Amino acid sequence: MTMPDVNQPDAPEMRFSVSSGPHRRSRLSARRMMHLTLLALMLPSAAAIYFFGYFALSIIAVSVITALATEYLAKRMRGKPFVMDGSAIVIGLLLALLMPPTIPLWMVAIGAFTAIAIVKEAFGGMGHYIFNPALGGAAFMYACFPAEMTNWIEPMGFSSDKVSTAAPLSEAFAANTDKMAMFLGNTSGTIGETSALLILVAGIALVILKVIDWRIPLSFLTTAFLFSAILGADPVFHLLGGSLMLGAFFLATDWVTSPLTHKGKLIFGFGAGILLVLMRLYGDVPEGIAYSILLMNAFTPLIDRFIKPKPFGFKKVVDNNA
Amino acid sequence: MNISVKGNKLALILRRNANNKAIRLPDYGITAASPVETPPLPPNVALPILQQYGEACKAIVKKGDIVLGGQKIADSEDFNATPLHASLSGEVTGMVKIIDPATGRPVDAIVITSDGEDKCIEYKAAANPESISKADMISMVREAGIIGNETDANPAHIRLSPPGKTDAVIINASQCEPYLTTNTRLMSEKPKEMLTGINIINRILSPSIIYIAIDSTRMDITDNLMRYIKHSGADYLKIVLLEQIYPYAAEGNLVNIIFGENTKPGVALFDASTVLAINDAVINSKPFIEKTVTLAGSVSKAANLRVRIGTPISHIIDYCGGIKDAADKIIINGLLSGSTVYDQSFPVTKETNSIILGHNVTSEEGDCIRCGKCIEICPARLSPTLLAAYAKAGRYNECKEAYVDNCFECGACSYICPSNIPILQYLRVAKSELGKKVAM
Repeated sequence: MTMPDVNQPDAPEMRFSVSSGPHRRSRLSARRMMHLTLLALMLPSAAAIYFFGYFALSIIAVSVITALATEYLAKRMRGKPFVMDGSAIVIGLLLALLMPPTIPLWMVAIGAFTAIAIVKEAFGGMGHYIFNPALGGAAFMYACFPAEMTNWIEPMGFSSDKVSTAAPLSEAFAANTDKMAMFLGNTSGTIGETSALLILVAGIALVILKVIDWRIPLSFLTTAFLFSAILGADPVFHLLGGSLMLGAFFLATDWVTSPLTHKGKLIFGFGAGILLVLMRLYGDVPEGIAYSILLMNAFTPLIDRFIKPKPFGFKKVVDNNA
Repeated sequence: MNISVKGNKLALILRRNANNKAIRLPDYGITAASPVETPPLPPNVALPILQQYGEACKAIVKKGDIVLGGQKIADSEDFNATPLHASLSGEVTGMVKIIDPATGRPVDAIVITSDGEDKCIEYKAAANPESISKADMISMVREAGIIGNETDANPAHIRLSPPGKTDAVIINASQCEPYLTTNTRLMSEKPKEMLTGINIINRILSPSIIYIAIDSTRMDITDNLMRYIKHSGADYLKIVLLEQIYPYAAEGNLVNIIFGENTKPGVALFDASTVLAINDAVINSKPFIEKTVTLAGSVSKAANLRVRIGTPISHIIDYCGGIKDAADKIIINGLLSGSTVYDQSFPVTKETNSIILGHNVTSEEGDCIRCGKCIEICPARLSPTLLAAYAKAGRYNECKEAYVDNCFECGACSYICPSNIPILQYLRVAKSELGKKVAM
């Protein structure tokens, strides 16, 4: 055996791969995180189908398929490869869960198209958009179809009788619905928001799997609870009603549109909680969740600019030798 | 948290990293229980004359010379440089250029072909080690050419002559990366020599306290060590148990764990293997020609091996039964912060602690999804994702403003990144580009 010599590059020895470290990576990948989110969303989706039957099923199908098709087209137009990273499915599914059961399906398709084509891909796709695409699509629909977006019916499973009912969070709704029904989901509302219990289970599972950070849901829910109590509203009603649970665990926690740091995440949740309660109690909008989170999305770059981790060793140092 | 092991009076402290800025790696300590073996002598050794500190040494032997093991073959006037010794007896057959795995730069190396007899120069054991003066001990350590802590490669004699006062010494008997077990093995196999070495360091630096850092998953080695410590009556020794998280054994992190972030004591850190070499240098005047390395990964038999410096890696791999599973990557010094070599005939150098055989895994870099996980785990508390984005765009000055220099290249950010962004590589590029600007 001879010693190597870099001046003789064609030495017969076997060559090994060379690369910069680290040479091992964690199993966590963006795709895996997306798939876990999708898996967790199966719970609220199942509840949606259980309570609203064919309505929910068709809304989910139309929304997801439109989202995927739009993503494919957008990627083709941008000249980028289309990968099934799961993000379009998650966005389509989340948008579907924000729809009232009686919405015409062509409106859902328009919403899903807007979410992917304008809010996501026009800003640069995964990692670059500044507003949560699902909420962006929903906000667009609130503006375009206000009547259809606030048309509520009682849960009826797979039967076809539609019984109109009061809007969630309205006074008539509060008078007719008990907290247990709100917790379990047997109440009117968008197809995905009604069962607080299943959203909570799915959300906590994602927190345990480290797919989402606990700070945003916790500070969001706590702030909304306390602030509504301070303003004299029923805090439990506000915690369980509307899309707060869904928003806190699945929409506000979107990695791309929420702050990077722990402290920033707490501020984000706090701000969203305050805005949500203000909009619900004093605003004219049917549901504040979309606008409160979208507004905080707009503040995210500002939060990231001012909340930065302090590099190690930059704390005040007590010099032992002084 | 103070805990005591089996009622022993010596306090054992287990402290978490203050803000838990670290990652949990799987424990691959498969060689933790394998005693250190000595493979047969290699047919030849290659000894690089440029080390990472100080000037390059000048060879004081020439082609055709017959040398003995332990004979000095290169030295420099520069105090920071460390002399080089023949690690076995034989004939100097010339100079080759090899790639230093740590720096990736080509360096000259002296090749010695073994005569198979392993004759050594006469090592004079010190008659009365207690009477050797401080300055003499430091020069003996320099003369022995000791280099190499796990996390950086500065010579031991420089660590033993710090400019300021030393408040504490940390002896690192833990391992900073998975697979590595040499420090732990040496601490459990040679407690007596270890304590003599620690005593020498204590006499030179006279710190008020000496901590021995041990991995809490390798608790079994403490019992034996405790007995020796008790017997020696060294009351300045304290054992620290560390949680097995990465990169706690990096110097800055160790100091942070033991002292807290708000104090900046004068601390000197020595690896267990370095302590052993210091002991050999002062007590036996034996130079640093052997190194204990862990060989693990895709190899037939993982082992801890005591090999001559300059031994070709292929010789060690052959001794352990050869490459398994068609491994195509040789990783020197750790899975995360280690480097790779392209040829298995490159030698073990003074800085080598481990050789891991692995597979090249390529993964496509995705867009940052802003999950913030790299910020969560960065032990230097930087924002790796932002630094990588700046570096990618060539905005190196902004990297500097965001303290890229504080990065000690542990690689935890690249390890955790769900989008497979090679963050560490971007930061290394930024650092070297900034270094070039300073040089201009």
